[in-house]
Amino acid sequence: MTERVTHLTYEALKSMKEYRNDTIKYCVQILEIEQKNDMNTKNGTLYSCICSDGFAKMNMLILNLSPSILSNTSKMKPIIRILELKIKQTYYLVINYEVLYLDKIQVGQPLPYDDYKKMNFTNPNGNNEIQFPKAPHMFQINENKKQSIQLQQQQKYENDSFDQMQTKSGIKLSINQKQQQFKPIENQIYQSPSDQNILKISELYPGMRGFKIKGRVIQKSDITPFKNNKGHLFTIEIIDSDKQTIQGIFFNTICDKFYDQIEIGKVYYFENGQVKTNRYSTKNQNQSDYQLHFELFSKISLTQDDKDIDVFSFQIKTIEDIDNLSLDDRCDVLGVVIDIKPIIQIMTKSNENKSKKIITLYDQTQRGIDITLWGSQAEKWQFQKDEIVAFRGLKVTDYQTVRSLTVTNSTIYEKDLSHLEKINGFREFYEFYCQNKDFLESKPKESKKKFALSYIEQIKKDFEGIRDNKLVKFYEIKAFITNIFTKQLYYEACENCKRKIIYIQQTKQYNCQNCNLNYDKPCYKYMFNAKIVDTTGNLIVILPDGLGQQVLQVPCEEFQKKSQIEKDDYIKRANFQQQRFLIVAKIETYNDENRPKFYITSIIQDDVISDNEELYNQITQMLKQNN
Amino acid sequence: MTDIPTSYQRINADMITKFKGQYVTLVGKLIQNKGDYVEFMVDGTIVKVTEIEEVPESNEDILLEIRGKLNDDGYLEAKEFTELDQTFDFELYKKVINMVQGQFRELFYD
Repeated sequence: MTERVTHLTYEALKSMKEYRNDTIKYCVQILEIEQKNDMNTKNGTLYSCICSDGFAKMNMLILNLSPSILSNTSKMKPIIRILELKIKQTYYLVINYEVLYLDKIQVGQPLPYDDYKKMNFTNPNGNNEIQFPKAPHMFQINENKKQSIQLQQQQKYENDSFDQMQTKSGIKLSINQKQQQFKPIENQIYQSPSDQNILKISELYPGMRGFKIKGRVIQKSDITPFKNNKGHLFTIEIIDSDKQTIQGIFFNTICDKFYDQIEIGKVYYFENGQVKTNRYSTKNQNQSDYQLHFELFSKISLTQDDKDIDVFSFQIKTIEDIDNLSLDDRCDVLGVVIDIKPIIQIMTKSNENKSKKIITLYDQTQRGIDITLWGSQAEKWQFQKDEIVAFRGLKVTDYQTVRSLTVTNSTIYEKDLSHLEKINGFREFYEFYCQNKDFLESKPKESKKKFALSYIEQIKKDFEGIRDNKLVKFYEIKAFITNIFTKQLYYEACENCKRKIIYIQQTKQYNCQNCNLNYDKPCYKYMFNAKIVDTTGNLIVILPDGLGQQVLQVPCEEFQKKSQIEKDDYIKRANFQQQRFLIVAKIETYNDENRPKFYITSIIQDDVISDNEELYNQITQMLKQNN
Repeated sequence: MTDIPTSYQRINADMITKFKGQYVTLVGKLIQNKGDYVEFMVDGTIVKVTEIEEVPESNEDILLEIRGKLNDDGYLEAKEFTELDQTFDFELYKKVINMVQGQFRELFYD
C-alpha cells in the first residue's frame, strides 16, 4: 500500500539545479502551464510548466500532461511524483510522472528559483506541507470505552501468554480454573456517550454541519406545501437547557422521514443538520437568528426527559402590552376565555373556503382581546368559557382600528393547569382571576386603557412627514365635532363580515365577494368623515359604524330611511357637541401614496375622578417646571 | 356691621389651628348629631360643627363640604354646606389643598 504523500520533496529544485540529481522521485506541484509553448514530439506533447517544491519554483518541461491536469490548473494545482527525469543543461524534462493529487491549493509561497538562490536557499514564507481538508468534527472514542478496550486487549494478551506459558510448562488448568483465571471486567461503568460533545444552541453558527445538540421540541407545525404545491415542509422549534431556541426545518423527503418521529414535548439529540441564517428572524421576536436544515443523513434520537430543559417556553405579554407591539409581531398571551363566537366559513382572497372562529381572552390588566383561529385550528381547537389558556406565537393584527391576535401555523396553546403553573407570569394572572372570576362577565371586553389627554396639535406634529406605514398611535382628545361630511355617510354592508356588498342586476340580490353570500336586502353601516376641533387645531377623522351611531344618535338602518330634511336635522344636532374621543392614527397606502389617517375608535365617557387626578398631575408638573 | 367673608379658604384638618378666627371650607363625613353640634370627620380628625340644624337619616355616609368660621375654641360655625357625591376622592382633594396652601399659595390666594 502506497504511503500517503503529505509533503512536497524538500529542496527538490535545489537538488535538480545544483546537484543535477535526476534519480530521486521528486514530488512537486504544477503551478502553471504555459500554453503557448506546447510542442509536439515523436513521444508526445511537451508542456512548459512552472513547478514548485513549496520554497522555490522554476520552469520544467512535462511530457504528455493529462487532460484532467490541463483543464484544471487555473483553480487547483496538481501534485505529481516525477518517475523519470532528464536533466539537460538548460532544461528539465519530466518524461514520466504519476498524479498524486489533482486538486490542491498552492503549497507554500515559492519564490522564483534565482531569487531563492540569492536568499541563500531560504524562503521565510516557504512551506512544503500539503494541506488536506479537516473533518468537521473529531470522532473521539469514548475514553472509558477506550480504556476498557485496552484492558480487554491487555487481558487477552495476558490470557494468551498465560495459556502459552502453561502449555510450555506443561501444566494445564482445568476448564473451571481457566475460566476463573479469565477475570471478567467488573464494575466497568460505561458513560453514555450521548451527552458528550453536545453543543449549546448559542454555539451554532451558519455553515456548521457536524454538530450535536440536545433539546426539547416545543413547537411542531403541520406539513405545509410551498412552491405551488411542488414541495412540502414542516418546522419545529427546539429549546435547550440554556433556554435558547432555534427553528428546525424539514423539506420534502426529509419531511416525510421525520414528521412522525418527532413529538412535541419530548427531548431529542439532533445531529448533523446544517445551520443556516434565518431570513425571517427580524420579523418574529420568538425566532432565533439561525435555523437548522435537516438532511437525509441527519440523526434525531429520542432521549430521556431532561428537567434542565424548559417544558414550556412562554414569554407572556399582558393584553395591555400588546398596544406597544407592531403589526405582525409575535407574542404569547395568557388569560381566561370570556367569549367564544360560533365557527363560520369565510371565502379568502385566494378563493379558498376557510373556517374561522373568534375567542376572546381576558387578563389581569382588565383588557380583552379577540383571537382569531383559522382552518383546522378553528375546527379542532376547542375552548370553553372560563377556561384559562396560554397561547404561544400569536400574530398581532389590526382590523378596523381594533387590535387583535391571530393564530399562525406555529401557534400552540396550553390549557392544563399543572403545565400553566410553570409559565412565568401565571401567578399574577391567577391571583387576579381568583379574586375576580365572578365579575368577569360584567366587565367590558374593549379597551379600558387610559391614554393621557392629548391635543390635535400633538397628533399633527407626530405624523408630520411620517411615511413609515407601521406607525400606529393612540390619542385621547377632547374636541368638538364642527362638521360632518355628508357626501358619503353610510354604505351597503355584508351582515357577516361588514364589507361592502355589490348589487347584481341579474339576480337582483346583493353579493358579498368575501363571504360569497347573497342577500335580498343590504345591511347599512355608517362610515363618514368629520372635522373635530379643539383649542389647538382641527383634524379630519373617520367614524366607523358604531361611532357614527353614537354621534348621530340613531342606528344607520333607520337613518338611511329618513328624508333629507330629517337627516340634516340629525347631523345639525350632532355638531358642536364636546366629546372625549379615542383616536387611532396610522399611515395607510392609497394609490401608492402613504398618508396618515385618523379613526375615532371610541367615545369615552367622562370620568371625573381620573380626569381630576390627571389635571392635578399636570398642574404639579407644570408648577415644578416653572419653579 | 355684618362680617361678610370674601372667601372661604379650603383647608385640611392639619391646618385648622392656623386658621382659627378665619372663614374656611372643610370637606368630610358627618358622623353623629350631638344635639348642640354635629361631629364632622375631616381627614381623620373630628371637628365640631355648629349651626347644622337637620341631619337626614341615610344608609350611606353623608359627605359634605361645609363653609363657615373657625372659632377660637375650634368649633366650626357653619354658614353654608354642599352635599357631595359618594365618589368624591378625598385623597386627591387633600393633595390639591396641600398644593394650594403650600408652596404655591400665592398663585391661588392674595
